[in-house]
Amino acid sequence: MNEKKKVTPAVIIEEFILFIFTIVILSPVLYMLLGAFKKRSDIVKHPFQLTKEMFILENFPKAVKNMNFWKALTYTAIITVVSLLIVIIVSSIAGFAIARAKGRLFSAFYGATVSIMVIPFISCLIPCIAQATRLNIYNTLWGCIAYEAAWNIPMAVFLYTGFMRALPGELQDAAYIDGCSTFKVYSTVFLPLLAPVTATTAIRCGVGMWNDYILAKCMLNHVKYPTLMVAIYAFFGDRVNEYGLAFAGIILASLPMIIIYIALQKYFIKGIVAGAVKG
Amino acid sequence: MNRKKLVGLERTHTRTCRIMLIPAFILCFAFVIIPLIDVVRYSFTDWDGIQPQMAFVGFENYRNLPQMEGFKDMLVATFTFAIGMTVITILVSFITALALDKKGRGRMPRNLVRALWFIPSLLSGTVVGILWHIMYNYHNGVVNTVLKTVGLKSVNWLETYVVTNIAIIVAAAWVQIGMCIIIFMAGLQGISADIYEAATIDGATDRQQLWSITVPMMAPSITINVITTTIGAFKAYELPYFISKGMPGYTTLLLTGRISFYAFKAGKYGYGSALAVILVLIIALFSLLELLILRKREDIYG
Amino acid sequence: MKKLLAVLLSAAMILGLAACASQPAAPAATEAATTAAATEAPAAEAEKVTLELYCVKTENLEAWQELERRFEALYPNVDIELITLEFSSGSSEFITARIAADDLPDVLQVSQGGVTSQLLDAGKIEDLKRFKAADSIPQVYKDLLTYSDGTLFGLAQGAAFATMYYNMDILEKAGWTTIPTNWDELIQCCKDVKEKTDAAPIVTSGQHGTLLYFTPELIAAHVCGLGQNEYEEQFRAGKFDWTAYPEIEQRLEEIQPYFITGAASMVEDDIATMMADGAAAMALAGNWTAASVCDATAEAAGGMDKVKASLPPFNKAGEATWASVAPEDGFGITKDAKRSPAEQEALETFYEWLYLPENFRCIQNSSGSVPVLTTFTDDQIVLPEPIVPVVAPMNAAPSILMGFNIWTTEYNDAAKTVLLDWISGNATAKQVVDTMWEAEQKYPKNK
Repeated sequence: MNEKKKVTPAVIIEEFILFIFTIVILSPVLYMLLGAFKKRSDIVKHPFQLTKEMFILENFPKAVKNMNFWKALTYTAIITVVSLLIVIIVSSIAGFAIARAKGRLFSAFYGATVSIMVIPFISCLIPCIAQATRLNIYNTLWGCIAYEAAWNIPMAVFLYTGFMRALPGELQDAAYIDGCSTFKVYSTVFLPLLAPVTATTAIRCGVGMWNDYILAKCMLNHVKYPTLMVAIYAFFGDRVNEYGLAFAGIILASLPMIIIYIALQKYFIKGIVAGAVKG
Repeated sequence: MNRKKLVGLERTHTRTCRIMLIPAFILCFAFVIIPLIDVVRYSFTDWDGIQPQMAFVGFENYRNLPQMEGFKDMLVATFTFAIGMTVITILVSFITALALDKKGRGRMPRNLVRALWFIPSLLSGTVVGILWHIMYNYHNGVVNTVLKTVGLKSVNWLETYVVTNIAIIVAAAWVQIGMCIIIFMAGLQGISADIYEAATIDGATDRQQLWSITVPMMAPSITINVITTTIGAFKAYELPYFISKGMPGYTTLLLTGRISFYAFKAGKYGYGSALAVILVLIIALFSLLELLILRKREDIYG
Repeated sequence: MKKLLAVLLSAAMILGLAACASQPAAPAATEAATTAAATEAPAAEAEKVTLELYCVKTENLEAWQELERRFEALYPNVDIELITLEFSSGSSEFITARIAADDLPDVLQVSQGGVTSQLLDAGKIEDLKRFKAADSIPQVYKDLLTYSDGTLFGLAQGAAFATMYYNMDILEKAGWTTIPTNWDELIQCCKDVKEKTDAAPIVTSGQHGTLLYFTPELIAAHVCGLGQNEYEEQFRAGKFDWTAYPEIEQRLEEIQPYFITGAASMVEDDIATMMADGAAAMALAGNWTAASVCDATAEAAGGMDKVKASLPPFNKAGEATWASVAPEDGFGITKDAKRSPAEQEALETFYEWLYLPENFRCIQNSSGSVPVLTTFTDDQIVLPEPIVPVVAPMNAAPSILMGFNIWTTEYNDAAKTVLLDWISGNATAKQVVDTMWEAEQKYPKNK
């Protein structure tokens, strides 16, 4: 990193370009944000302005009603949180095992698990549904949770293993000398240190679960168990003409994730720095 | 600490570790591997997805794949999408990460900018597809409105050959860039300042430093970003479909869209499964290839 | 960090318990249900029954909710659940997933071809001939929704036909005080609109497949000199050669430049939007969206008196105008061996009740489609003003079936792709006729 460089014209230009690019990247979000408070004709005529006359609030209550928002929010939250917890617990102990134990079994398991990431879910959709029916978990929240968790474990194992490998090995040896069992080593020594990578996993996997559309649509009856993304598509997918309404719905559905990201940002970055980069 | 005790401890340790693998193994095997095996099984039948009976047809589904309408277009579309999106994402995010990394020079708060760039990654593929579809609308879309304001002509983003491919690549890259920036910035932090100082003392210019120090030392993060972005691109389903619905012709209908069509709409589940198997193989081979190429460079500079 | 973990853990436990609690309750009690005799008498102590209704069209949602309210008031033990997933790209995944789970909705919209024929092959659709409701549907509409094995699988809501809507305000600016009445006049009108006004001549929705196929089919009907039903017979047999009639290609080429830019990616709602913006002079759409299109056009043209509608004037001067028709998607019942007798009874009661004119009019009034139920009285019917004069000619005209009734999914896919390319100017008329002929021979026919 270069320190104490003078503020030359080149620097100012660079900063300006960066500023412009940031605005450009964010403009779709801005467009959507402003549009949620306007009528469709205003969205079309003045995409990036929002004057007092244009401001309307009615898109939001309408979207809430059409989407069955509160119910959908509850179910999406339940599915995401429970699946995430399963993923975190299961993957952190697996990651610990792979990072700390020696043997071909462990590297083979790691390789196999991580390579599962190449499988696209849509190819396996029907067998999954048929299987869920046989197991009697079709159209239940647990059915959805089971698949969300299972399909996110590979990514989480990857993150946890990388992170644990980067932790100093002396920690473990010190604990052994003190006579701890392996599990005790895990819970007292490593667990407290896992905040960063847990945040990373929570964001990467959690966002995927929150935003999931296909699994929820096909596994759950969308009247009984609405979820956010299915609710959005049910009303806006093929009839997108009420732009304001669509934008309001999208914002409502995406806001929770944005808020959580902002709250966990520090840990999230730490987790990536520590683990993912070393590979 | 005597040898015997250590060895005993290690054995218990290994055994416990093996047990610790079990939950992950059970979940993944039951809910991922078994359905995958089913898919492969179905690809050798003529099942229509509905009726219980199905006949074994061997490799017929695979042999008939090239006869599919727009087969060549679909392959070209899928590969150009994956490669195009990866290239744009990596380039833009690398440059931006470099720009954001220079500490103490700029006016803009680094963390804020990084967080802002990441927000698109938090949106669902469905949402992004719908949003960009609205934006690319020929008559009402914001993109054309902006073009008209600066005096350019409206472009038919959703119906023109090649242009539509670019349109979906831009939208997909928009989502991925934030994530890649974070990883690149993390990688950049791992390079100590001393190396740069030493190089500056030796008289190396900024440009030389970039190519001989920064890029090689970023090899691990480049590998990660390239592979995850490519895998994500091959798996993308809702995003490209909701933007352009496969138009014009078949040139933006990706493999995932085709799988969905044959498996669910056309009642040819066996055929769709064969496509699905091909997709998995493509992703696996591609990733392996990238891994080999990039790991090699990593090892040289490691 | 530990605190955070503890909080998360407890939150998850609570949510996990909530997940368990939300499981669908065990099947209803086994008390025998008293039969709900006539449609008026509400059942005294009957088993709790849930009926699932997959009613595809969300613009009629309020009508369905009204019906739900009425029926549940009559039969308090019955709970109707409305599934309103859009009938388009998303719904085939939905239905096939439901099939895999062996959990089909009780009442669902059916149509020729597509998933419906797969369901019929699997024996999952009831034969409706025994229902009283079937008697009030004209035979021709019953025939259209009868499968090759004789099953009557759906009772049509109404008649759907292709319609051309006109914004007279724009037409007058182009020099036309009356609407075009044949093909040559239509082309001339388009030309005038294009040259003398800012508006595009014709708007249609490429993404709504039915509308897309109107144009080649109606052209075929008018230039081929075939009799009633002959086109459909030849097509089903794979013998209708699109390339054998040079006039088809010629007409396709003539009309292509007059479609609004972006027609290929437009959805049905966009038609109303474009008309409301005054961006197009004429709209090639269906009567099932008459209410919204007429309102939108009136907005731009300055009053409903400036809105006109007619059968698309694709005829040669002096000859009859053909109508492109289809039964408006009908409703059918699924067979399910797992249903209890009480459920089956409630279901059949509901179905008969639905087709009583005083109930069905909720749907008809909301959609404005032309009803086919013979039991409807004139005062019960609500039609948009410009459509009223079209109904009689439509009923009297020679008719051609709308494509989706006789196309397979794969033919659909191939034809739709080339037609979308043609409308957007990426493919020539020759490519269209060649592809449609090739695909017709390649893909097995609808039964």
